[in-house]
Amino acid sequence: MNSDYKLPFTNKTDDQIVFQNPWHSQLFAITVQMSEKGNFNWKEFVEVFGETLKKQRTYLNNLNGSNDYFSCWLNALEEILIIKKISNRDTLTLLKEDWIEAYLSTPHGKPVNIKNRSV
Amino acid sequence: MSEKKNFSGDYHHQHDHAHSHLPSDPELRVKALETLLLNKGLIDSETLDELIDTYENRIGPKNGAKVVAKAWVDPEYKKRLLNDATSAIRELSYQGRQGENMVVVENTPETHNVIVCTLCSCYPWPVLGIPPTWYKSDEYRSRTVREPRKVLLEFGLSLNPKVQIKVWDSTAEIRYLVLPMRPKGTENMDESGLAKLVTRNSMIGTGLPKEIK
Repeated sequence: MNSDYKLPFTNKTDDQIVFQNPWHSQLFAITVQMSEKGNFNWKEFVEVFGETLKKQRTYLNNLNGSNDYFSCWLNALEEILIIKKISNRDTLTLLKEDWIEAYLSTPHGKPVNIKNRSV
Repeated sequence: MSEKKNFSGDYHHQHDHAHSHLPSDPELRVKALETLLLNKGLIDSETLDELIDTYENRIGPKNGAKVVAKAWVDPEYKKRLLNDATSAIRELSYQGRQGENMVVVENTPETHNVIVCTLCSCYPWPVLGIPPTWYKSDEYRSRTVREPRKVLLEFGLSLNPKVQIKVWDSTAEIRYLVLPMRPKGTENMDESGLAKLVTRNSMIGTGLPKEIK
């Protein structure tokens, strides 16, 4: 074992990986594209994101910068879409349920698609 | 079939698995968002793929390393870089998202600079790419301001107590890049050789450039 094993910022084997999960990169790209198309500016997003991180910290001690960080990012994107009246909580929940249903009703190995819901 | 959510937000249900594997809660929510915004015509898949490819494969600390190496060999460029970093970086064709307003801070024998974003994870994408996981962690974001010397030590960087540490808090408007000191013994090296010595952490301030052997 390396002598500096206990140091928090060293020996991170994942250090060079840009996105640790495909949903992180997908979320990142959706947010950037939405901002660049003028649906919100980056400063607005950062403000909502900063608040989300702060809220999360009140009941979770330490965000590790990976899944929990991007979960906050996801909350922030949903939030800003609702603030900007691009969507609402019910629609987002319904769409998620559509995806759950699609996964549960699609045989393993087949492509998963959801029914066309008017949004 | 019963279904319940576990602590990590994943859905679990009990029966035989003839159907597709159910993704985690955040994965499903990202899918929902994607469906919504594609259907509304607010995003397109091609641009999403392009963005991911750009940040996974094309933009990263190598860009910043070229900026630093140029500043090491070209005193006029260094002057421009310290006066107006955004324009000087643009000279090397690095610009755009999250690099619209750049400030470069120079390390000297007396001062060592470190960058952080206490609010979230603001970071100079055009020159450093996407921040590493630790940059986004609570620990780095809170402790770097409070006890920078200790944090640097945990990165393996032990600074002389006489060296002053300056911490720069990035925002959505201003992004910082550290110009590290050129390593000793590199007087005969050219720009491309020097660029290979510049590490990502040396441009954040949590490390130093590689030494030549």
